[in-house]
Amino acid sequence: MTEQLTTDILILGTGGAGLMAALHAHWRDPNVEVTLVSKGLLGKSGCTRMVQGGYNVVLNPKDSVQAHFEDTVKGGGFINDQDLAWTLVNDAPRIVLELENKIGCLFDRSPDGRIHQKAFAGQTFDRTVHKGDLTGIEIMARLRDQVLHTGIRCLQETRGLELLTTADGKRVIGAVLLDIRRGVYITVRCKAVILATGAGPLMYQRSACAQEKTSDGLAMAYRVGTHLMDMEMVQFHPTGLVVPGSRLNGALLEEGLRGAGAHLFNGKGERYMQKYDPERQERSTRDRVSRAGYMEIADGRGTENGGVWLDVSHLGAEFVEKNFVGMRDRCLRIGVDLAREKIEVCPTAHFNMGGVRINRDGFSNLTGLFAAGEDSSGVHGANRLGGNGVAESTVFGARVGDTVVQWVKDADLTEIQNEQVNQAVETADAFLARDKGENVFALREELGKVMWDRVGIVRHGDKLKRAIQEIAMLQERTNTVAAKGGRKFNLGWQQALDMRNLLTAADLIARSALMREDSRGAHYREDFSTTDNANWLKNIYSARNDDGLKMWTESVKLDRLKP
Amino acid sequence: MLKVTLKVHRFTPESDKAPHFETHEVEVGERASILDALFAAQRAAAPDLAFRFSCRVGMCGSCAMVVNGRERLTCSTLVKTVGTELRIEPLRNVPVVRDLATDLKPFFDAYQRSLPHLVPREGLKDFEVIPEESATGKSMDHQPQCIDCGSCYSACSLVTLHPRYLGPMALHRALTLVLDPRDAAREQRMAMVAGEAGAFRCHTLGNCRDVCPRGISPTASIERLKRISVGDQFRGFLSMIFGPAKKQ
Repeated sequence: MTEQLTTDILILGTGGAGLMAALHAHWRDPNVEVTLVSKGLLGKSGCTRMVQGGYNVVLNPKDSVQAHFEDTVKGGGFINDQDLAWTLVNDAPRIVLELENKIGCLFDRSPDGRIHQKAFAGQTFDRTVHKGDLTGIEIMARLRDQVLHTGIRCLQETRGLELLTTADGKRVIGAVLLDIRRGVYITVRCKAVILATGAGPLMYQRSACAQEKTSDGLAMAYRVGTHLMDMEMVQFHPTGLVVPGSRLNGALLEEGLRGAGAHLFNGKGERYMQKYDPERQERSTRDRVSRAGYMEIADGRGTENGGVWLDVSHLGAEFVEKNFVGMRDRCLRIGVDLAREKIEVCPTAHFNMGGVRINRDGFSNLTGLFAAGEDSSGVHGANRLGGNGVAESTVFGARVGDTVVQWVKDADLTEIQNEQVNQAVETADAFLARDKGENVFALREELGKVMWDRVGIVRHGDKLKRAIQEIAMLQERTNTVAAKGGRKFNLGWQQALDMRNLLTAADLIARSALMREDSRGAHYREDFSTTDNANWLKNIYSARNDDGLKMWTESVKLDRLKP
Repeated sequence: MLKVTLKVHRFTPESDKAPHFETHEVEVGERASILDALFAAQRAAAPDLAFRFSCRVGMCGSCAMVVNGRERLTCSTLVKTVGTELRIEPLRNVPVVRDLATDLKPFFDAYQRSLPHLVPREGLKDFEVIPEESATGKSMDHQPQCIDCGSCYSACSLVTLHPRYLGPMALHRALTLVLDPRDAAREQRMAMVAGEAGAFRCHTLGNCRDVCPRGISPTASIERLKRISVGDQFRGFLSMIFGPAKKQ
């Protein structure tokens, strides 16, 4: 038996995209009922909270929206959806002002009192608005304050399990949720679902993301036939901490360090970025800096623990202490003083550029299903610029909120198909019903290794084929996991449900990576090591239909900027 | 490697009569956090142990627990700084959901009652210009950002005595907004600060300051609110006698 809930708009996810969508829908029409679903706690869950550096936005008259657009598309290897990229840069100034003056964030000022914008890598102008080096706390806490004020319903520590559709599969009409605390299923009937669960490449053994972001939205969307795009495009951030044996392993040191002039050294003390990108060096885009670091380490020029050195000490201890308080704290915790000494770093899986195919108002190919933020795709193409992530979540969150609140006025509630609900419940319950089975935490480690070794920063067709087989075997083994300990707040059970979604996304990443015979942005193939604009200015689509997985390509529209 | 003995609070209120402590022996790295030690126990023998975490880098404030009698943010506290015998309990002053996970509803309800959202004053158009050396710039609160982890609420004896008391975090937020030049709700905020659930409940014991993982002193914020409140009352008294002060 499941509990029942009816609402107009169901928003899965409570990071920047989810909360902006909720607020915009509510502000536009408070009579439309919005329900938020958070896998963790309201305001604390997801990666917007973890934003360090900040928010890219054109505010200075010497900067231009066109320049921000060109940085975004060039950085993205020209496979961005240019309409989405343009929407991002065009809306960002309005939305960042809204974050300050309506939502209540207070970003850092220059000594003269005007808003401060700092330097980030991969950009032609210093346009990153920030709050120290822990910007996400401010954005999420203030969004949370406003959501509390509106009284919008939020189901906390509740996860989406499956989306529900009409019998013909063309329209999304609800979802099955699981209340993690109580272990109770909830069937939601609604007019529209907004996916804002934040994707998250946690299937890699080194990953920067919040720990609950296990590709739930992508997997749910895939299972009901949503068109996904560019799934091979997984960003690796170049400067993740190296802390063997700790969850801190893979956690980030922010982009602004390179923006401010950090140096990277290999184990032999060489500033290797001079070789890989002589012009921009350490301020090159994330894809290039990550790959360079990975190759140095792979070629035996890494540090003892398999990393490289990040050094900002030459910028002066006082400068680092003043401008990178959060990063220095993070390093001090593991015994390194960032202001005075170098620290070991290694690339880490950070962001999914790929995801649900949307248009600028968040529509997917399925009626009633919308997406925003990291669950969507196209804005960043093959590589995301630092500081464009939180801009994307808030810009597109706001847009989709404004759109959907109008859209639901012409939509009806539809009867749920009970067999879909039963199927969702049976699948989840199966883990609890088993007495004996594999250790899901060990399986998760195996997946992390497969993805890191074979679907990682440097890819090859043979390795990808092997990975696809290994993922299939892990899928079979995951179907035998036993989760003992009851229904209530049982993390082992949750991990089994997470694993199922991670594997779905992992498989799509590997298959798309195999299909793209080209190197571009974050995707690098040893066997196709050049960027092939003649054949691969294309997006790769994947979707499930009745016969299983279908994949195809479509050419990118280059209507604003050509390579 | 460190050998650690964890004594972990286990309790499912619906089915257990009383909490008990379960012992787990785990091995963790030199630089492991207390949260890492919990993950080690989870993986080895306690897959259903309930505890809360998200970012694991000290930003989300989900993983505060009471370790060896004191509130700590477990992702940001190294095992070796506390010891290899760890007694881990849930936060205080809030009900337990299961094991180490608490229901933070009383904490966030108090926060919500404290009017924590900015009420923008009319006419805000562009980014407010706040020069560092201006009176406003100097008077604003410059303490580190709060991560609403609940440690202060858990450690506060006055919250235990008076469950209606807004508590340290909510009052610290109130101070930030009272000093924010963009806010239009100063009067309402100060009425709340001076009210029965407000700042004058605080006995300046400093427990909140001692446990804050971000180095905030809510105690100092509350003291400042008290001074502002007393100043407001004094001015109100003067204007009662001499008539309203002229705007300069």
